[in-house]
Formats: sequence, C-alpha cells, structure tokens
Amino acid sequence: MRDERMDAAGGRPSRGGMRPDGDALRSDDGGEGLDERIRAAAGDYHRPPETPREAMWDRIRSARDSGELVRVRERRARRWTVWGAGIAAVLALGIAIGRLSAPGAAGSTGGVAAGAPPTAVGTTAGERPGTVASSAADAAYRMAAAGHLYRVEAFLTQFRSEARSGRVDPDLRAPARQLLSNTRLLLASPAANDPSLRTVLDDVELVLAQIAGYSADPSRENLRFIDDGIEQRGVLLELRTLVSAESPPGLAQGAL
Amino acid sequence: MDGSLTPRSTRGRLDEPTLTERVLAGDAAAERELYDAHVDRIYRLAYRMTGEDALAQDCTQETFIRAFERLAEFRGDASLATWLHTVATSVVLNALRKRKRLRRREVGLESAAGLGHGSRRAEPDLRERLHAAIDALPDRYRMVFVMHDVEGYTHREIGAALGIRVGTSKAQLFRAREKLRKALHLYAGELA
Repeated sequence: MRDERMDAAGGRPSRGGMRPDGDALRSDDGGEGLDERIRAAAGDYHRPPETPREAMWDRIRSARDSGELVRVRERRARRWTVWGAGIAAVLALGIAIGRLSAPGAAGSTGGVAAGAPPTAVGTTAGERPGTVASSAADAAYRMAAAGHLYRVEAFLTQFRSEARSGRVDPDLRAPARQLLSNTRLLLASPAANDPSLRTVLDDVELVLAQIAGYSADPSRENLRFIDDGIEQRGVLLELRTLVSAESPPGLAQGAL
Repeated sequence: MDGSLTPRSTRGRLDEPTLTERVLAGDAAAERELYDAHVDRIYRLAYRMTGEDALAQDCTQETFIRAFERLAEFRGDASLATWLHTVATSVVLNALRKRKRLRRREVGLESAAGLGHGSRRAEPDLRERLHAAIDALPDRYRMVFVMHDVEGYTHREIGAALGIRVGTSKAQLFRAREKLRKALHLYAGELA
C-alpha cells in the first residue's frame, strides 16, 4: 500500500480543514460544534516540548554500538532507588544503634532518665553531659537525622530547579515517598524531642507529602503551589543551616 | 500542529530507496538522515500518548533501534514513514500497557501509605476535565483520537500505522469523540 500523501515533502494537514479522506469534523449525531470545540481544546493535551534529538541520537548510537539501550525512565528510577536505599540504610543503622544503646536496652550501661531529650542536630555529643550509652544513642539519632536532612535538602533543591523550569521528573514520586516515610520515622523517634529539629521535620513532612502526591495533579499551578510553600516556610534555609552546623562528612558524601 | 507522516524535509536529501540501501549498508550518515527526517513526529506522537518526557524518549529510541535492526524487512510496500509509525505505535502501546501494570501496583502502595494530598481545588477546570477524559479513553481509541484530532494524521495514515482499515479508524474516532462528548456534555457551553 503506497500512501501518496506521505511522499509529498513538506505537506501537512491543516487543522480544522477537510482531510483528503473526507472525515473533517463531521459528526454523525449533529454534535460537530462540540467536536470542533473539543478538538480545539485538545491541542494542549500533553503538548510536547522541543524534541531532544541529540540526546536521543547519542543513546541510539551508543545502543547500536554496545548492544545495550539506556532507558531514560529506568535510569532515573535506578538513581532514585539507590538514593532511597541509602537513606533507609542510614536511618535503620542510626535508629538501631540508638535503640541498642538507649537506657534500659540489653547491654546498655544506662544512666540517663528515660525520655531525656536527645542532642539537637546542630550540637555535638561532647556538649551534653551523660553516660557513654546516651552519647552513643544521641550520636546515632544525630547521624541519622543529619544524613536524612542532607538528602532532603539535595532532593528539594533539585525539585525546585526542575519545578521552576516547568519540567519535573515524574519518577520523583518514589524518592519523595521514601523521604517522607523516613521523616515520619524520625518524627516518631526521640530525635523529634528537639524543638528546632521537630519544626524542620514538620515542614519537610508537609512539603514531601505534597511532592509525593504531585503526580495526582501534575499541573503547573500545583508545581507553583508546592514551590511557593517551600519558599514561604524557608524550608531550604532551615535545612542548610542545620546541615552545615552538623556537616557529617561521611554522610554528606553518601557513605552508606 | 506538526503531525502527519510526511518527513520534516526531504528537499535535497536522498530518495527513500537510496537512503534505505545506504542505511542497510551501514552508512552512519544515512542513519542520521533517516532519524532527522522522522524523529520529530515519532517523539511528538509518543509524548502525546504518554505525557512523559522520559517515557516518550524511551519509546522514540526503541522505535529507531528496532527500525534500524529490522530495516531489511522493509519492502517498500508502504512509505518508510508509515512503516516507522507502525513500529512506533506498537512500541508506544506496549509501553503504555507496561506503565498501567506498574501504576496499578503503585496505587495499591499509595492507598496503604495514606499518602496524597487529596483535591486541593473543589473542581478542576474544563481543560483538565477534557484531558482527564482523553486519558480515560481505551489506548486504541486514544491513539486514533490523538493522531487524528490532535496531530492531524489522516485515517489512511492511521490505518496504515495501526494495521487497521480506514473504516475502523473512523469508527474508533467516532467512538472516542462520543465518549468525550458524554464525559463533557455538562460543560459543552464552556468549551465555546
């Protein structure tokens, strides 16, 4: 079957005009007016951006040379998964150490009253009097919180950058959920007894919940709403202040 | 609108049989020429159908890789553009099926986690309703609707790309529009 229209270079059907196959906008039930209005409004449906032709061509060439195709979607998902796994590992380790070394735990030397506030993220273990066990517990929570906040800060920075360019990776829902889950874990831990840390974690929880639900309403208006929320609450400033005060070198470099 | 299967520009370029021969002979410049002539329309269609840049890029890449691998099977009965769109629509529909399976799993997880911010606004506007109604069309109908009413392909082109008769393409478009009209009938006045 040879379609002559396809051979006509530069030929392009004009919207709203009669097509060569005679369909045009005819509607058999007299609803042509509505059909036309639907067609006009549908022009915005998933409006494509400029074709990323060079990036795709590079991957096609590479795939043809190596026999392995790099998929954009899977590559992004892998990046988020690795990131999420790192966060979970930090928190699990930190909280596990905290529990093991907490007063009353098996093998613990005790010495600090139950419910004693943990050290804030921005302080050091040496500033607070207490036993070896409580210092270890504080250090563990502090390590977990600092590592978590460092990653939240990096995530939100990336999100804002993408949000402002109007192109947000839909795969960010998974890391947002992972970060949200870990934020809630920290909020339920003794780390949240520190008022300044709790305030930041509360703000972070709200913002991450919005981002995790972003794909349910992927409009520019919603993006702007989330971005404004981050700005108005000063979430990134709070995070950077806390993270720079703690600056855990191992965690900051993704030691786990 | 930038649809139809017509190559972007073929002026001063190799004719189709020569281009095909050169690609089959391993000429990298010919591969690039073939890619340049068709990539915009393939990517646009993939993006319109998936609504995701990453997935649209994956579908486009896969289309061209498959096309280069199977070009020897292209016998010239249809135009190269039609043949490429046959590959592309198949790749896109498969990707959509795969994504649907993944999303069903994710929805389950989200319900369990009690996440999501709910509906911040009481009512989405009409445009969003229309887009949601298009999203809700069965993929085959949506493909025909997007190709014809959004990207401007003819029924002959759609039929050739999807491997269906022109009459079937028309019937599917009719049903797609009917579903959209039903979904939007309360708001018909606002569409004016």
